[in-house]
Amino acid sequence: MTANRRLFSLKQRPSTYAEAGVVAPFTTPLLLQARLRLDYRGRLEVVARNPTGADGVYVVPLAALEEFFRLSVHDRALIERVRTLTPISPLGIREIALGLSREGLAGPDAEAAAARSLQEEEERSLLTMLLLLEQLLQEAGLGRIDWKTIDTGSSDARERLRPYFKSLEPSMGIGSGELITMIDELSGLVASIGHTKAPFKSHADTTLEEVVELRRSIAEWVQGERDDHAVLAGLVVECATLTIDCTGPGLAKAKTIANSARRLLQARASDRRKVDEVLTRPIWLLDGWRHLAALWRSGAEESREAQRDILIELAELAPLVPLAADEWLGKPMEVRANTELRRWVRLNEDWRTGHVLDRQAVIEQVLAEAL
Amino acid sequence: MADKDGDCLADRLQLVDDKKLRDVVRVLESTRERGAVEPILAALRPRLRRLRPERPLTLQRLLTVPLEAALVTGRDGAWSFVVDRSRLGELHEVTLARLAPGLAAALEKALLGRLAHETEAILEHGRSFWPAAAEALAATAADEALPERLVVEQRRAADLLATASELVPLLARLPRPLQFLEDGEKELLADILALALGGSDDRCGTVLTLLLRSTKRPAALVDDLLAAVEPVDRNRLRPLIDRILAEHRATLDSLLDDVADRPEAPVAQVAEAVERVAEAVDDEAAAAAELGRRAGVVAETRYLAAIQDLTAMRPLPAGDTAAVLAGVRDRETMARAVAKLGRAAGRLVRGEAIERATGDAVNALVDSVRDLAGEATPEAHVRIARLIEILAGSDRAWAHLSQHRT
Repeated sequence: MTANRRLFSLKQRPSTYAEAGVVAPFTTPLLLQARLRLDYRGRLEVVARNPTGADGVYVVPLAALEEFFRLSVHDRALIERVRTLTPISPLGIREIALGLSREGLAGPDAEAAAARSLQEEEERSLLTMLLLLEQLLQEAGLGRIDWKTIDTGSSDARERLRPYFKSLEPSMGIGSGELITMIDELSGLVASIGHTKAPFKSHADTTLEEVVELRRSIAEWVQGERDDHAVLAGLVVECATLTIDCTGPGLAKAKTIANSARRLLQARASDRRKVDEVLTRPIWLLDGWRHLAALWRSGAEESREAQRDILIELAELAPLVPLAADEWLGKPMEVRANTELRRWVRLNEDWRTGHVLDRQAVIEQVLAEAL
Repeated sequence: MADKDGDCLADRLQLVDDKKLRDVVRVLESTRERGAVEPILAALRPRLRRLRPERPLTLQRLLTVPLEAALVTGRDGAWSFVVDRSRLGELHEVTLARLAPGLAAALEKALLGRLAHETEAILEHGRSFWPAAAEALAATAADEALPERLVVEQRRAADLLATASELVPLLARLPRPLQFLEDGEKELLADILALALGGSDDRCGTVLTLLLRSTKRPAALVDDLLAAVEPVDRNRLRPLIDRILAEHRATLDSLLDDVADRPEAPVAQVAEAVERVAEAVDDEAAAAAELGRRAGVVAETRYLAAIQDLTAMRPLPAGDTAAVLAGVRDRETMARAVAKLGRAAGRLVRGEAIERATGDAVNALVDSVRDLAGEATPEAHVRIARLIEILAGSDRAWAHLSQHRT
C-alpha cells in the first residue's frame, strides 16, 4: 500500500510551545510521540499523527482519548497522572514517565532504566543543591561546605546541610526552612540544564550531545541515498541543526544565570515565571529528541532497508522548533518550500493489521533507551 | 595472513580513531582475499557495529545486484526459476575469470570509494559491467561439463545479467512489498513484463518468481500481472504463474510440516509459520483451503498447550534485581509469542476454544497473584496486568490493575 503524504517543512513551524505542545511517552503505537497541549479553554488535548498515514494530525481532547484509541495500560495510567499536572512541561512529563516506567508499566527494560535515571537524578539534584548552597555561602563570605561530611547517596544528606542554611538566615533575610524549599526547587531545575561547576553531564547536555551525534550519523548515512530518503534525511538534519543552533546559546545563557545563586534567587523571587522560562528553554527545545536518537540507535545493526524505514519515522517525528525560539535568540528565520513525499507502508507493520502489541514492545524498548 | 599477525593487527586497530578504523575496514573489505582478513574484521565487529561502517561497492557486490531477488537458500523451499545462493561464490569466480583482460581491474579502480547502497553508482558501473559479465557466464555455462540443473541455473543467472541494465532500475522503483499498486506502478510492471516476454519462458518464470516472492499475497498480484500484458501474452504467463503459486503453497506446506512434526519447535516459530499460511488462505482461499485447515489444527493445538504452560509457570519473585527483571522479560516474550500464535490461529479456526483458553489463562493469572494474599505487591499486580494485556488486551488488564493500584 502506498500513501502520499505531505511531510512537514520549516514553513509549518508552530508559533509557540503552547501550540506545539509537549511530547508524551505514549506506548500505544498510534499515539507514538503525540503531544499534549492546552486547548483554548485550558483543557488538555492530544495532537497525534493521522492514524491513516495521510497528511495532517488528529487533535483529540485528552478526556476523549479512550473513545478514539485502544490505549495500552501504560497510557491509561499516563493519562491519569497527566490530568493533574500543572503546568504541562517537558520536565513534568519526564517525571511522570520515569514514575510509570519505575512501576513496571512500560516493561522490564524501561523499569530498570527508570530506576537508574531516578537515582542519578536524585544525586545530581543534591549535588546541584550543594553547589548552589556553596555559592550562597561564598557570596555571603561564610566559607565553604565541608564536602567530606556529605554523602550524596545517603538519605540524611539534606538534613546535614541544615546548619549551613541556618547560617545564611541573617544575610538572606529569610528563614532557613523557606530557603531550603527554594533551593530544593531550584536545584532540580538547574540540575536538568547543568551547573558550570557540576561534575556530571546534565539531562540537557546529554540530550544535546545525542542530537549532535544523530545529525552527524544521519549526514554520514545519507551519502549515496537518493530520492525521498535523501530529502527526508535532509529534513531531519535541518531540524536537528535548528535545534542545536537554538539550544547551544540557550543552554549557555541558562547556565550563566545559574552561576550566581543569590542573584538567581532574587530574580526568581521577583519574577519566577520568567526565570523558570529562561532556565527551561533548552529543555523545551530538546523535547522529543531523545526518543529519536534512541530510535536511530536501535537500527544500528539493521539492514539498509530497515534503516530507511526508521529514517521515515524520524522525519515524521522530528520536532520543529517553534518560531518563538527565533525571538529568544534574535535569529533570522529561513523559509523553505513544502516537499511532497511518499512512503511505503509495510504489510503487517502498520495500523491496519492489528499487530499492535508487537509494535508496542518495540516502542517500549526505545522508551527504555531514551529514559 | 598468519593468525598471530592478524591478532596483532586487530589489537592495533582497536587503538586507532573511528575515522581511521572506517578507512582501514573499507580497504580490508575490498580485498579479493576476504577470507584472510575475516578474523580481523570479526575481532573488530563489536566496535564496527557502533560505527555503522558502510559496505564498499565491490565487483562481487555489483555482480550480485541483478541476481539478488532470485537468490534462494535451501530453507526457502523448492522453486523452479531461482538461483541457489550457495553457488554465488562459484558464479563470481567463473564470471570474473572470463572477463576481458583489464576490465575487472579498471572497474575495481572505478569502484574505489563507492558504497554498496549507492544506487547511482551501481547503475552507472553496472551498465558497462553486467553485459560483459553475462557473456562471460553464458560462455562458461556452454563450455563446462556441469550437470544439466546447474547449466540451466547458470544460463538463468547470465540472462538476468544480460537484462540487468534495464531490469534493475525498473525493479528498484517498485514498492516493497509489492502490493496495492498505483497506476504509475502498474505501468512499471508492464515494462518489466515486456522485458521478460522478450526472452525465454525461463526468463519469464524468473521475473515472475521474483515479483511474486516479493509479496506475502502473491495471488492478489496476479490480476495486475495479467492486466499489464497483451491478451496473447497472458496465455504464455498463466501456466508459469500457476506453477509459481503452487510452489509458494508447497513451500508453506513444508514450513508447516517442519513445525508440526517438532513439538519442541519454539512457539514464535510456529506462530510465524501459521501466520504465513493465514496470509495464503486470505490470498487464495480455495487453493490454500486444505493447507489452512491443517495449519488451524496445528495452531490451535499448540496455542492451547502453550498458554497452559505460560500460566502454569511459578509466580515471579518480587523485586527489581537484574535476575527478576530478566525473568519478567522472558515471560513477556513468551506471552507475546503465544498471543501472536493465538491471533494467527484465530484467522484459521472459529476460535471458541482459543477464546475460552485465553479467558481461563487470564483468570489463572489473576488467581496466581491473589494467592499471594498479603505478599501481593503493587509490582506483582503490574506484572500480571502486563501479561494479561499481551494475551487478552488492555481493557481486561486495566480492569485488573485499577482494582489493585495504589
